Amino acid sequence: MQVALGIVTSIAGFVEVGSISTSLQAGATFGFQLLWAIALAATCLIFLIEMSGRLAAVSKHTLADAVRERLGFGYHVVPLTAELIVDFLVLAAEIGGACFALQLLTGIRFQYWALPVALAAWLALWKGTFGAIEKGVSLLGLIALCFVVAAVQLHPRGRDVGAGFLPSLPQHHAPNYWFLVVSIVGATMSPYLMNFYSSGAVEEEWTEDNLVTNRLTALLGMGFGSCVSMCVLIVSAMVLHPEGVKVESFEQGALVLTRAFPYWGFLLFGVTLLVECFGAALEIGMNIAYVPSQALGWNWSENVKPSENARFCLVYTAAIFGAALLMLVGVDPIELTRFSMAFTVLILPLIVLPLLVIMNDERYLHEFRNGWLANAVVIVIVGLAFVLALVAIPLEILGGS
Amino acid sequence: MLAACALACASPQQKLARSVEDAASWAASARLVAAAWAANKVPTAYAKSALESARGRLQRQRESLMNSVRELPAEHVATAVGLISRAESAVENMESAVARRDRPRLIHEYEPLPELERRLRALLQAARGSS
Repeated sequence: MQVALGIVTSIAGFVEVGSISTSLQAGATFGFQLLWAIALAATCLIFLIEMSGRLAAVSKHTLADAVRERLGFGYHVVPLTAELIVDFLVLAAEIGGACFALQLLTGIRFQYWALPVALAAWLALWKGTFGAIEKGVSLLGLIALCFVVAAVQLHPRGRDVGAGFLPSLPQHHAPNYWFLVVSIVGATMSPYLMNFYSSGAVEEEWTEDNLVTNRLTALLGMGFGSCVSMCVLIVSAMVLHPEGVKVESFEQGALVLTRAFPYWGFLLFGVTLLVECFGAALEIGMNIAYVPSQALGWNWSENVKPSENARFCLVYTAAIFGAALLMLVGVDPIELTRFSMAFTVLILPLIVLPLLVIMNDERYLHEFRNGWLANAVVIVIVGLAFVLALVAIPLEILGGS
Repeated sequence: MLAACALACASPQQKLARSVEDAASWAASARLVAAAWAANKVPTAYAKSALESARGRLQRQRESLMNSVRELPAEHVATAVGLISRAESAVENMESAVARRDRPRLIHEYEPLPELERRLRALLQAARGSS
């Protein structure tokens, strides 16, 4: 039961504004050609999530907590600041995605939805507990499975889909192709997922008995979650690519389900975007409060009354309404998503490198330290993250527009 | 800001290709939105807003090409601007048809779009070939 819940949570947590928009753009512009990028990023994420969960279950430390304790506040202030900036941008993008979904569903401009969405998110965090939010978001988030059904109904050719899993060079738009690779990695390996997952494990008081659950949740949950992202890409490749539509706005992406579900497709897209973005906004809102609270030694928990951890609540309150302001002034949600995904990749080495140190520290992991395979994977991820961080901004300039 | 920087870094042929490709993409989007609205698959408010966005983007591409007329081959620019203007005008007529809830008129208005898209793509190939 716990494994099943974990998997459901992971599926819902995986699909958010970044994965939806990058998969839509990748499928519309390059057909199936970028499926490999999702598969690669998801494989890396499975390892990182498993390690974050193992760290929490064995040491009772979240990732941010362990980095501060092991490497000192002097070092931690750098990734802490970087993660807070990225989380804030991604939070704004998620709120923007939810607002745009409401624009699609109601016809009222997305700017008008910024404050109501922010207020609803704040109320959910203020009143809810970690378990209630996690389960509510997960169950509602299963609506994203409509992309899986659509992908099956559209009958893509197995050979074409299979070829997409083999990395290949683009025939045109090379900067745009590589920028989308960077964005897909940024959307998939979002640093907030690692800290949020370890914070959740600490909130739910995981012990070493939960290590099997942790491994299965990371493997199956992230695996199925990435399948949903791949299905978004496949549906976009089947519907928008042949028509020559490049997705620059959610208004263009909104038609993607209308071939598989002629009369429900539009509504399904709007509701899926709304639920997934709102759910992700709750998770990132929580994480944005977890990270500084854990780093500065404040009380932190979503399971206690706001009066008992006032600074934790103050941080998510300020973040949510600050992020809503960006939407209120009319920042384009899809442009913001594109920018924040590139910025995520930029800070990835700062987040992943300390994990390598901590996961090999006997004081934290005892006999559950990383083996050679896990270390090799982290080293590859760090290398990949450095390369992507170096090219992210030049590619954003050349291919992001 | 990044988009402006990207445009400044691009060669004249790349600018032409990018504008023409974006215009073809927005024309195709407008056609899909119109077809979906005509088949009663999407709400009117969405169709109006999406067509307005498409017309705005087409207009932006046309103006961008007209502002770069000195750097680009005059013949290509004139052809592209002409095609984009026709697409813009077709989308404007489609907007009016949606506002009047006139489905038969809308279908008539988007009929020229596939041919305009085809010609924009042919121009794109030519621009890419000469870059």
